[in-house]
Amino acid sequence: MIKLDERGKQCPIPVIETKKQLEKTAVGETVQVLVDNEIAKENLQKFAGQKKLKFTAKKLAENEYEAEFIMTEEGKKELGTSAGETVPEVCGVVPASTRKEKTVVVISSDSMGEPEKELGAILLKGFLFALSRTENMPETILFYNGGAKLTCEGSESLEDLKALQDAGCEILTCGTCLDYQHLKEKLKVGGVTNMYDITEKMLHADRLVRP
Amino acid sequence: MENGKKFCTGGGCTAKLGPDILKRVLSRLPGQKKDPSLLVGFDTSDDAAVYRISEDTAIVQTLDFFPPMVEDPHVFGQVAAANALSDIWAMGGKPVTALNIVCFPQEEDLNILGEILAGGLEKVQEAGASLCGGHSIADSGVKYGLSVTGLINPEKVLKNTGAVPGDHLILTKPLGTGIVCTADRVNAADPESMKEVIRSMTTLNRYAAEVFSRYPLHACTDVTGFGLLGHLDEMLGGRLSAEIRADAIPYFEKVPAYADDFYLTANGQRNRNHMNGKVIFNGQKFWQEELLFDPQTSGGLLAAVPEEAAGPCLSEIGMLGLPAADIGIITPKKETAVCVI
Repeated sequence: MIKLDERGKQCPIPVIETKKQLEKTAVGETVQVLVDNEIAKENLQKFAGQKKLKFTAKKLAENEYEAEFIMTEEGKKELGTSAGETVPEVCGVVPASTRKEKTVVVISSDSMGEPEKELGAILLKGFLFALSRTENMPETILFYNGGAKLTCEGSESLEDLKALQDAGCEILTCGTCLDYQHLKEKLKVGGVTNMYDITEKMLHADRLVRP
Repeated sequence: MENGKKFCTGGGCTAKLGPDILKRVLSRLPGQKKDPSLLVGFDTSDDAAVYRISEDTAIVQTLDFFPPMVEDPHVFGQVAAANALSDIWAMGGKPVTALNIVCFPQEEDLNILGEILAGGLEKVQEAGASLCGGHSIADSGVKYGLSVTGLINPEKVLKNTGAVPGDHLILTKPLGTGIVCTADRVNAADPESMKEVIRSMTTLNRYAAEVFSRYPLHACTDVTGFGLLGHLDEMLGGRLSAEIRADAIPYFEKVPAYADDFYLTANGQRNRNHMNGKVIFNGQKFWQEELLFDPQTSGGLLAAVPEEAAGPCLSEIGMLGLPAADIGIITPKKETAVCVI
């Protein structure tokens, strides 16, 4: 299941980001979206109705609503996703030869290598730029601790990360790290994630890259 | 996602408090002693207050301000002023003086404030009124608007509740400013459509109002934050119903695409909730529904015009180059307030 945390974001951002996620979601898959107000929930519901997706929602707390979308055949058509983005429906495990290897890149600092911090920052910027140009794009890039700065306002890598995201790479930043560094309002690219997800992504990766 | 949009925070009339919340708060205020000279107060959800000061003169007062809905501060000033001035024309008045109301961050570039105020002043002058002061507050976000005073003949006050069955409804600007500005806020609007919307939002309702003043209008209001249906509902006042022709509604070209992409405001949804049970659609497309709920910034005038006057009035407004349209009729009260055909 894919989870999006859209709390603290103004309409229409929650719907737009949910739509982006759903466009790369296969039939039968679930996308769960957290929002912090009823109107945002209603807008998601309206979206599900228009795009013919299965939808349920519940109120978790005063300012917390959890909406759940399940992708349908009709929904796939409504969203007009290109065939390339649709995960082929194969029973059981996809044969290893046709399966794309899952590479997860972990950015845990705003610097690459030791001991020169300043040089490290330049190197990391270069790394992300190069990554945005490679053919074997990673499936996911995780940002935590000092790495969280890279997805936020002021980062020089935003353009490269956006290019990666547009090309289908999942960009996720640790929510605890954003909170701790008071960066929550400044996140500019990708979604917010939690330690549960980070652990899952790392465990299920075929290859873990840590520059 | 919001890259590059620092100044514009999803403002305009999309930032208005919803009609339901407002009603709840206002209804709990203690009653006031009635002043016979106060011809229009806030009990009729009208556009502005009207107070008689002599046999043949009354003053019209209004106040409107909001956060930016466009990136260019000069344009924002123009839009905010055009929007604030509009209430005076919606009452049938003529603006004479205006006061600035400003919220601006202490640390922000003062040239931006200068641009906003210059844009506002241009529109006050175009309206034939004088800017004569204002009040500013240091605040975390930018907000700007005007308090405007106008003059009116007490016999010619255009309340928003005077419509009668058979009246034609004339709307003087296209709908969809909320949807297009929302698309623009997430960098999804094309520059041409944004230009078209800005042209409309900075157009004063003065010109349409001057034509209206030559016809025997029954009611008039301006279409702003509550959307066409919300303001129409106020005009119907629970006494009347209306039939709206969806295909006759003027709209900005890109609205169908942007609505289908869900560039919709939270207030559009609030307006939809507010009209729940009061409107019936008859197989209109999704975007056509959204268009009617879309909160407008500096929207057009909506007038109830006697049938025989509707044609000539519309063609006279058309001659000014304004995209006005006859969008439906007032009917006797039916089960639902508005029927969209």
